Amino acid sequence: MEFKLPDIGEGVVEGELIQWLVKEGDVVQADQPVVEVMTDKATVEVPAPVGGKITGITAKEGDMIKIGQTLAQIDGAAAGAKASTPETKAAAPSEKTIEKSEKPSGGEGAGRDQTSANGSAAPSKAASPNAHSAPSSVGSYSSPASLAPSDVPAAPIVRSMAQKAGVDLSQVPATGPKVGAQARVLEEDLLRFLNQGAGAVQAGSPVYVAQGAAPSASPAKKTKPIPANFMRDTSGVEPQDERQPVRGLRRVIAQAMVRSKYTAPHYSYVDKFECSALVEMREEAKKIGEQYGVKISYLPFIVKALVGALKEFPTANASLEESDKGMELVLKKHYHIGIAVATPDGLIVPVIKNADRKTILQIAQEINELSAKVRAGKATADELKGSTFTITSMGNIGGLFATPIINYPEVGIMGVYKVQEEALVKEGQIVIGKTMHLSLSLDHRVVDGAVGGYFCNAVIERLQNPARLLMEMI
Amino acid sequence: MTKQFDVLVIGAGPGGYVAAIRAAQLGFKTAIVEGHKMGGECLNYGCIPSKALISTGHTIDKIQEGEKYGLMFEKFRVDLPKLIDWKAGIVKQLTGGVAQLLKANGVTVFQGTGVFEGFSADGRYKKVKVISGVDSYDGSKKAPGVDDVLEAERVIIATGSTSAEFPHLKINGRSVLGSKDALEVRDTPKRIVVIGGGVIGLELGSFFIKLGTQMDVVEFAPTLLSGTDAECVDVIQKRLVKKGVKIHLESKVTAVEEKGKGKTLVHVERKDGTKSTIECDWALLTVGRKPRTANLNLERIGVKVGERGFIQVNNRLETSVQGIFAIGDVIGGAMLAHKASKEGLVCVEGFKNPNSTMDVRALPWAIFVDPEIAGVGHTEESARAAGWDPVVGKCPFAANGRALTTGDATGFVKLIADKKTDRLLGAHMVGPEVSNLVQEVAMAIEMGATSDDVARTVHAHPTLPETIMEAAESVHGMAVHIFERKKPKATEQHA
Repeated sequence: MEFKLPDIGEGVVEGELIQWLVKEGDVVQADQPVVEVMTDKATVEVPAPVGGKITGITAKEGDMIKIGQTLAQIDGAAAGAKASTPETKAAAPSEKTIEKSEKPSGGEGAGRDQTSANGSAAPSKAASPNAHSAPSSVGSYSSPASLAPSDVPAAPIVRSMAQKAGVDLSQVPATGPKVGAQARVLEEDLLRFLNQGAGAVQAGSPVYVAQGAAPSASPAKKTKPIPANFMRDTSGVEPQDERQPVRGLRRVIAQAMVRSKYTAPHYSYVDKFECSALVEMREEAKKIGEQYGVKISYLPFIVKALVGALKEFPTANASLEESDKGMELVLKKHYHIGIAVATPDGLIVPVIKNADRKTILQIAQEINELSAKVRAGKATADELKGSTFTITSMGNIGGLFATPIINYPEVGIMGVYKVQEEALVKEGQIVIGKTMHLSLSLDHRVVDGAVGGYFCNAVIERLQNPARLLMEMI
Repeated sequence: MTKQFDVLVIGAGPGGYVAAIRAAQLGFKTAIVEGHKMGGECLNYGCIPSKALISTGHTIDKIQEGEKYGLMFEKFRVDLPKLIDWKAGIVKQLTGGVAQLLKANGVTVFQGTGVFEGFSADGRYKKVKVISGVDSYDGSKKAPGVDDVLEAERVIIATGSTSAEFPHLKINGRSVLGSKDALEVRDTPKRIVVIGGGVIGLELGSFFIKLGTQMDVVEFAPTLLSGTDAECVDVIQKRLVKKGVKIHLESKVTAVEEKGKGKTLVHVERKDGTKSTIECDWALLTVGRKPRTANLNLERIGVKVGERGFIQVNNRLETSVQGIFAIGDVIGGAMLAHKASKEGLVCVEGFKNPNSTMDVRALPWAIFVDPEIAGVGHTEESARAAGWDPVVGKCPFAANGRALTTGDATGFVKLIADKKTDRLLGAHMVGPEVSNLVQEVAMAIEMGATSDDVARTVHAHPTLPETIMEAAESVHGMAVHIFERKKPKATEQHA
C-alpha cells in the first residue's frame, strides 16, 4: 500500500521530512515510527499504518511534504521469507521464516505476524547489518555524459552548488545568456533563489559607492609610518566560507521572522522600573515553591502582570486578519502567553494556556515543565501553538534591552531583562534600589505609539507595586 | 592488530589514489591498500607507458619520412631495449610521485591484498584484512609483511580491471601476450597478430608498425573500434591499410599454436566460414577488460555484482552495502582513468554532502592511434535518440594552416549542436593532436554553451583549435575557410 503523510492535526498542511528512521527494504511493524516530520509547530514521528516491507521511498530528507503525499510503499505481503535477510544473496533463509512465509497471508494482520516472527529469527551469519536494498531502488548509477534536452544549461560550479543545497535547477529563475528559449542559470540566480525566504532577498544585489566621494580632509598632521611589527601579512591562502543548507527549525524560524517583519510594522517602546518590591515578593514565593519542588522565577509574576494589562488594553491581545471580507481585528478572549525558549536547534515558543485562570504556582510549574520538554525536543504540537502574546526573557544573558520581533500574527511581544542594583534618586536622596528594563514591540497597524506607552505603564504599575497585582488576582 | 580509519580505499590506481588524497584533504582519517604497485593499471601498464612508446613512434615516423622535409638521416635505427628502459623511468617517476603525494597528505599506505572480513559488532565498521606476501596483480609470492586487520567506517573499492581472456585463448607471455607484456618486448617482432581491434590493441599495434612490424588485426565486430564515430574510424582504417596492415573483420581466432621459439600459428575463421592461418612471432590478446574482484570476498559481505561481474552502485557510487562504495573500472562503463578519478572525487565529497552525486555532462576521451581520435558528448545518432534535433558542423584539417605545417593534415573536426537551441552536444574528431583539442568542447558542453559561443570566441592563429571554431561556424553554414552550400540556418544569430 501507499504510505502517505497522515493528517497530523491542528490544521497542519505540510511538514518537512527531517529523517527516515528506517531504510528501503526494512520490515516494520504497524505503529512503529518510521519517519520524522517537522511542521511549523513541532517535530512528529509518523508511525507506519500497517506492518510490511518499506519499498520505493519517494520522499527525501529535506523535502516539504503535503498531508496526503506518498512517502513510500509498504509491502504487507512481502514481509515474508526475504525480509529477515534483506536482499543479501549469501544469507540463507532459516527454516522458521520459510514456514511462516508459506502461511496464507491474509492482508495486513498476517503481514504483521510474519514481521514479528522474522524479527525474532536470528539473522544468518553472513547477512550484513548494513545491507540495504539493491542499488536500483535508491537510484541506479547513470553513466555520465549523456546530455538530455531536460538538462538545464549551467556552469559546473553552479550545478555543484545546486546539488549540495538540494536545489533542482529547473526551478531556479535564470537570467544568464539564452540557449534557445532557456536562459543559463548563473551563480547569482541560484544564490538569489537560495536566499529567498530567509529574508536576504537583497543579497547579491550590488552596492553602489559614489565615485570620488573622498573622506573629509583632516587637518594635516605629522604622523610616522606604522612599524612593521604592528602589521601582519594577510595575503596567501584565503579561508573558504562554509555553506550550509538551511533546514528544519532554522528554516521555519527564518520564514516566520520574514513574515512577521514584512507584515507587521514594528515599533519598540522601552521603559525601566524599580522592582525592589517584586524582588522581595519573589524571594518569599521562592521559599513556598521549594516546599512543592517548584522553582519560581520572575516570569510567573510578569505573566500575571501582562495578563492584567492585556485585559485593560484588549487591542494588544488580538490579531489583524485580512481576507476577502477585508480587514478584521480579532480580539482574543483567551490569554495564552507564549514563552520564548532558546534550544540548541533554535528558538521555540511553548504556550501557557489560559494564564488568566491559573495561579502563580501553576504558571511557574508549567513554565518549568514546558521549557524542559522543549529543550529535550519532546514538546507536542499542541503545546507550541495558540499563543496570543509572547514574552521573551533575556534575564540570564544580560544586556540592557532588545527590540524583539513579534511572534506574528500576534500584535505584541514583551522583552524582560535582568534585575540590577542601581543608584536611584528618591525625594532628593540617592538610594540603592533594584531595577529592570522592559521592552515592548507592537504592531503599529493595531496599537498606536501612545496606546503602547500606556499599555507598558499598565504592566509596570502591576510589577512595581505587587499589591496592585494582587487586587485582580484569581 | 586492528587499526581504525574513517575511509579505507582498496586499490591505488587513478580512481583509488585520487579518492584517498581527496578524503585526506577533507579531514578524514584515510588509509589505502595496494597489493601491487602504486598508480594501478594506468600508470604502470596502461595510459602512461603506452603513450611513451606511441609518442616515440610518431618521432620515428617523422624521421622516416624526413626526406619530405629535407631531413636526411644516414644510419637510423631503433634501440628497443633502451626505449623500454626510458619508458620504465617515466613510470617510476610518476608512481613514486603518487606514493609521495599520498604520504604528504597523511594517507596511511598498506601493502597487501585487501579482503573483506565482515563488520564490527555494531555494524558501523567494515573489517578489511590486508594479506601481505602475495602480489594482488599476478599472484606471485612477495616478501611477507604484517597481516593487518583494518576497520573503516567507509570503504571504497577501486580495484580496477584486468585483461579479459577466452577459455581457449589465454595470455601466456610467450605466444599470446597481454597489453602488459607487449610494453616489455625487447626484440622487434617481424609479424604480429592483434586479436581484438579495440582501443588497446590498435594503440599498441600502431607502435609496432612504426618499428617495421607487419601486423594483422582480427576483429569479431564488423568495424574496428566499435562504438566510435564511423567517419573517424574510416580515416584510421584507411591509414592502417595503406601501411600494409591486414584487417580481418567479422572474424574470430579459433586457436593459437605455439611452434617453438618465435613461431606462432594463429587460426582465424571468418563469419562466412573461410579459414586461414597466420604465422607470426606472437599474438596480442586485447579483447576487453573484466572487473578485478576475485580477491575481495564480496559475497561474504553482501556487495552485489551485476552483469559481467561489475559491482553495482547508485549515483553516489554506493554499493548494495551501506558504507561500501566502488569507483572506476570495477563498476563498468567507460574504462577511463579520468572517469575513475572523477568518481573517486564525487564519492568522497558525498561523505561530506550526501547530495553530491555524479553530474558529468561531458566525458572526453581520446584514442592514441595514428592519427588520433578523440570525442566528447553525443554523436549525431545518440543525440537524436536522446531527443535532440542534431545539426553537424565540420572542418577538415586540410583547411587549417597549422595542420599543414605539421606535415599531416589528415582528418577533421565535427561538432554536433541542437538545431533549435544551438546548444553544443558533442564533438568527434580525428587528426593531429586531437587528444589535446577535445577539451575545449568538453568545457563548452559543461558550461551549457552554444556552437555560436564557440564560433564567436577568438581562436589564436595559426593553431589547430581554429578547426573547432570553423566547425562551430559550419553548424550555421557560415565557415569562412571552407566553401559551404547554404544550409538551413540553425539559429538567427547571423541574420
